[in-house]
Amino acid sequence: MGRVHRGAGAVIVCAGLAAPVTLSAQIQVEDPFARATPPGQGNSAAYAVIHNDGEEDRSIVAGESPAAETVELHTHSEEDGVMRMREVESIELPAAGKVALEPGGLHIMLIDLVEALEPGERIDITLILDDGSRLDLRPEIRHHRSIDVGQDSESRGLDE
Amino acid sequence: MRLPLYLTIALLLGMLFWSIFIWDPETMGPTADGPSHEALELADEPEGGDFRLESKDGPAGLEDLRGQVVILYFGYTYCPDVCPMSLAAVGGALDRLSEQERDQVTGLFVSIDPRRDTPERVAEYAEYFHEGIVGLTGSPGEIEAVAERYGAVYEVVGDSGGDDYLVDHSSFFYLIDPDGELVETLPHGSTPPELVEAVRSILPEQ
Repeated sequence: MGRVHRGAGAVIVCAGLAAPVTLSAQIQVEDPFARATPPGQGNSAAYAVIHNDGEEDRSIVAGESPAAETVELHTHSEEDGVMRMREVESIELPAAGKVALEPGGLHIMLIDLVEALEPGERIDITLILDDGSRLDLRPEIRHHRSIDVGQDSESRGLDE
Repeated sequence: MRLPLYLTIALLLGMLFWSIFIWDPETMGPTADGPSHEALELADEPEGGDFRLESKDGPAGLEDLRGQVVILYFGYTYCPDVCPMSLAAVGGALDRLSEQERDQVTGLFVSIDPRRDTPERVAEYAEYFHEGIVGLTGSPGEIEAVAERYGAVYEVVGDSGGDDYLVDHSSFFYLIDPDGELVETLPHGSTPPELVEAVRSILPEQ
């Protein structure tokens, strides 16, 4: 299992070296993670907080990953309690700002996974920005119990 | 100008008559949204009630759960983000209950995607999030009837005949008391602590 991912990682490193534009250090990725897949589930989603410390607006326009056949940028809208997930063309990264990709909101969709995502592993995802630069994430795969949305950190323990 | 009193009354009665018997906001409103939007309108007051669907162990339903507080959720196993998030919340809530409380609480996950979700698949999926969540599915007609009674709505999108499609669906947590009565509906994004609070408000006094 791990060997496959290391191999896939090497592919990404080579791709990164060959890329004409190197990533500006002004885009920072905080806490990238992806959802471990429930049985039979061939899709997953990845999340992170992405900071743009630069003075220019940027946007994420595409993504790719050796772990999935297709990577798409998605969002959710809620209307009268009905959740609609839709692909978006880009995700804005405002200058001197940040965007949170999180469960139930903007996220990176991983479609047709090459293999199940197991907690504790990492996968490679590369996001492509509007200026052609590439942003590498190595999200940690997390079990839903350690994602446990919408609560503050002090109640994150399960020992109540 | 002052209208005579009897004319004023007659006018008011006329307006009342018009607003009750003639005026229909449904048909007067904008209709540009088309049928797909109307199909997803939520029922005003879901009545809830018993139902019987298919579990991996055969027919099962709410009526088997008298004495249990039930957290009911409608979704589907191919759901990429919303259902995992919601079932993780149900699982997180069950984890936060004491053992004694947990014995009196059951999660029910009803598939609104009967085309792809077999009883085995939906069971495996539900149990992945917590062993206290039971997965149910059924025929399209059965699912539709249950969803309607709870005010849950869903609509297949991107269906090109294959198995590659999404289902837009409402995302509510339905809290059902030990007598099988729907007592509270919690919104999408409810957290485990919020679900725990709702469950404890229904659980019989220890």
